[in-house]
Amino acid sequence: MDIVHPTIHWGYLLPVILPVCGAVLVLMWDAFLAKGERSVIVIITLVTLAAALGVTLGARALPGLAASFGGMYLFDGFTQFLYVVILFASIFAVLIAAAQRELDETPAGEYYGLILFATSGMMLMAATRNLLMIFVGLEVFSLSLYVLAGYLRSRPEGNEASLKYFLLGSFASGFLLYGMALIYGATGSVDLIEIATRLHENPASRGAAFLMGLGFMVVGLGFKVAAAPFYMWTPDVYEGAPTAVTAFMSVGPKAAAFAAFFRVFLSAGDAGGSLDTVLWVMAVLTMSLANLVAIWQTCVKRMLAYSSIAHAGYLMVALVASRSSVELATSGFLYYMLVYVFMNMGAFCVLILISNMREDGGTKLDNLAGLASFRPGLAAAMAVFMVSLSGLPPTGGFVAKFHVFSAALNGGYVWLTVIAVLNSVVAVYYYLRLVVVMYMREPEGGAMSSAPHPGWSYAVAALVLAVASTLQLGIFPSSVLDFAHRSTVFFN
Amino acid sequence: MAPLEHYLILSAVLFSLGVVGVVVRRNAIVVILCIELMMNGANLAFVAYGRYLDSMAGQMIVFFVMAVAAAEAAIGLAIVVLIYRNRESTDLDEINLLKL
Repeated sequence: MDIVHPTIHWGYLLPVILPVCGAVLVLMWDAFLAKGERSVIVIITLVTLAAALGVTLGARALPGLAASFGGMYLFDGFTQFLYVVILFASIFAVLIAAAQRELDETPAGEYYGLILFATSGMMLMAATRNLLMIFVGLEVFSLSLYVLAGYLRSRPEGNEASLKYFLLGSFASGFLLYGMALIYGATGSVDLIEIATRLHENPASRGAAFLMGLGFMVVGLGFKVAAAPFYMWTPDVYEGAPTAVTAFMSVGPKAAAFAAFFRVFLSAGDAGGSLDTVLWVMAVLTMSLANLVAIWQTCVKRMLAYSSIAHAGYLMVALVASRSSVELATSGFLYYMLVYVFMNMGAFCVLILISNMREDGGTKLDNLAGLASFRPGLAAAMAVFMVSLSGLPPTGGFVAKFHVFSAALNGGYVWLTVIAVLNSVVAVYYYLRLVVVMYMREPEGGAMSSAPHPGWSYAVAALVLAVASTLQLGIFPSSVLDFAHRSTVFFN
Repeated sequence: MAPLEHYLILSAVLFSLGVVGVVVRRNAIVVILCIELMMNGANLAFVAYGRYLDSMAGQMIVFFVMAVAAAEAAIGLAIVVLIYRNRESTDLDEINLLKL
């Protein structure tokens, strides 16, 4: 038997290798540090992530050179853009965790190590055309996040969030895996390009087994991106997990799972049958249910959880539209994902600073009352994020929504666009209510701790980066939009 | 050698038993076992297809899935132990601090 040596382009692998090495280094270093000493660890993590980001931005995805290990690892334009998204999400997760008071007493090495491992898993899931690698990447980041969700070990809510996330997450992985087995059986391959060719050449492979497999995969990925009707776990897990982890969970896994969703959906092509209709219904349900429930929330953290489900719905609109207008929909999705990192992470960062100020660590809507009168900067930043999340100009959220919706309109999905726009209008209510509470209400009393957290400078850095990027992506979107347009090359 | 269908039916039965178990049973440890059953149903399908198609991919994938399932079991049991320490129960119906 001949052994074929796979082609490997180590330079393209570097963005994944760096976080893994960083994670090992952080875990080792932590053993030699005094308890509570964490600034070295934070800096190592940040340097690793920044280096990976630099390598990613400096790399040029060349056609023909993209695939390593026979397509197991794929560095195309799509991958490159998603790497930027995932790495920014991790950088924010590190910065805001360093400023969260609740995490002070916890071991530092494990937290940052797990964040780095999760990052590498998300990157691998986004950068492959092989079903097995999709599964392995998904499990690498899921296993890290199950632990991170229950990181505050003594808090019963954290334990509960961790258990719920674990049980439903691995339940979904079971579905995903069985779907992959059926697709493998029907087409005889786990490589998405080969699957696409065999579906094209051999109509017999488009039978019931393939469609069932695809259906199971939609269930599995639907759980991971928190799309209706598989989003039940999301609000509970997001509320119970430490806020910094919630912020990370609401962005990173979405980027990775949607990447796999796009690749599988596009390579299934016409053989997908009624998958279009299924995804259409899922998109509508996700947006509408999440927005309607979000209106009634009084806890800001839980409201942001429902808001993140609603945004998964808007991203599903892009997924549906990618059937008929691939380029517009994909670039819209990528741009949306990038904007979402900055506005969502920013909002969670403000939330962390507010709960730091209070003795009880509360994140209720009332806790934000009159914030503008005693923390004007914080209130202004939160207002920017809320305006962007609701999709109003002059912020990145507006440009992103505009591109996704016009892609859907271009693809002929008129009703889907109408429903999506109506949903955005509903969403304006609960986002701007928060702004009204901050600016119009009198501050309520209650025990305030005035001493600033030692990690406040990290939070300030995160806030400045988030506000600047949200505004920049809204006012001068053209260069990043060009990048997104160039990144719509799949499998090349 | 038994035909492919027999293996596939067994794998479908294993998978369905796992799904039903996750939905019906209320003990966290039993639910984790049922998830393992689902994974192994998929594993059997992979191996059977690999043999039938004469392709190595299916048989190789199973090793990866086993490794992942082992890691998952380790983390899952650790979480259950943590819950048991904090509240002396592994009954999923009693784990309801966060409203669903």
